[in-house]
Amino acid sequence: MAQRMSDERIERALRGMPRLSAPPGLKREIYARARSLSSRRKWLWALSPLPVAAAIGVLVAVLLNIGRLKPTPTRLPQEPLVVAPADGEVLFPDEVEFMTYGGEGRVELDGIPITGTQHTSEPGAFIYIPQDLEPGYHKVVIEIDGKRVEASFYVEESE
Amino acid sequence: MTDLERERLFEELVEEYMERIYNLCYYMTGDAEAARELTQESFLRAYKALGGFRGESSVYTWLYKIALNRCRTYLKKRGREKNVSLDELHDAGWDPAEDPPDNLMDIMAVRRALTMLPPEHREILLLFYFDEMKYEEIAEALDIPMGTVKSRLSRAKAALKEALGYGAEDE
Repeated sequence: MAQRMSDERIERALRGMPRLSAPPGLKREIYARARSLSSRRKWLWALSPLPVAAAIGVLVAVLLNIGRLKPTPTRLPQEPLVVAPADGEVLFPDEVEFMTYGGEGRVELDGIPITGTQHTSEPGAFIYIPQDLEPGYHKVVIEIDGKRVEASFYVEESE
Repeated sequence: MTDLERERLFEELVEEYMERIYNLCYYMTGDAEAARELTQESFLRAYKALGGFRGESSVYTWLYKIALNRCRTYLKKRGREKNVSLDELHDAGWDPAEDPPDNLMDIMAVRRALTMLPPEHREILLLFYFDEMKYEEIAEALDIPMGTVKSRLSRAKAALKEALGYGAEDE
């Protein structure tokens, strides 16, 4: 048996465990991933029907009396695209709200065709909020005009 | 919270707590690469959830809660850590020249014993002694009543002594 340490020595050892420096680049990685998340969210916001934003836009147009002002169209990709979740993303079940772009095509979640998609204000963009999604890996696939894209994501158990 | 406020708060959190969260994740898992990944995940989850943060607990204990949940999930999948050596501490980011302990033998013995404890004991010992959190802060981070913090801490200390090889008969 090892030589017995007093409670005081044990507590001192616990308090004195070496303080580690975080690996170089960790901070940069965190900011980069957060920025990537942020920009994706902003893009989703641009595609989503937002009555409040529309109302604000109308109000501003009226106030400024610039009825001829044309909004800049959101630049959408020309190819089919799974906008969200990002490929490889890890989410909780209630965070899964996926969005595809590419027009009227076949959309499958884990090999099962999806029904209940909602059009957004942008033609070709769809939102789907799956119910009772089990933890684990899932795959969403869209096929439009012979073109196929897919994204895999992982759903964790709720905290 | 506006986007700008959220970005600023997130930056403050990263600057203030990244090192501490990395240390917590490392001493919970004993794996530097896992600690790096878990630290990233914890901050990203915090970033996603900052808009909904209601301020019912301090942002500091809230962040710890997220990190501990990540660590527990990881440990469920991976199990107990295996390597406890000076080399792995060095690889994980310890610079003995900057932080030279005079009780290294004790520290290594305690660290080995910590790895034998279940996560709930390990985490409360780390929060109380290593992170020097108060009872109230631990209660928030673990989402348990204060009375439970005290009783769990006491059980964790007893379990640590047991793991060090001091049975109840030595008391």
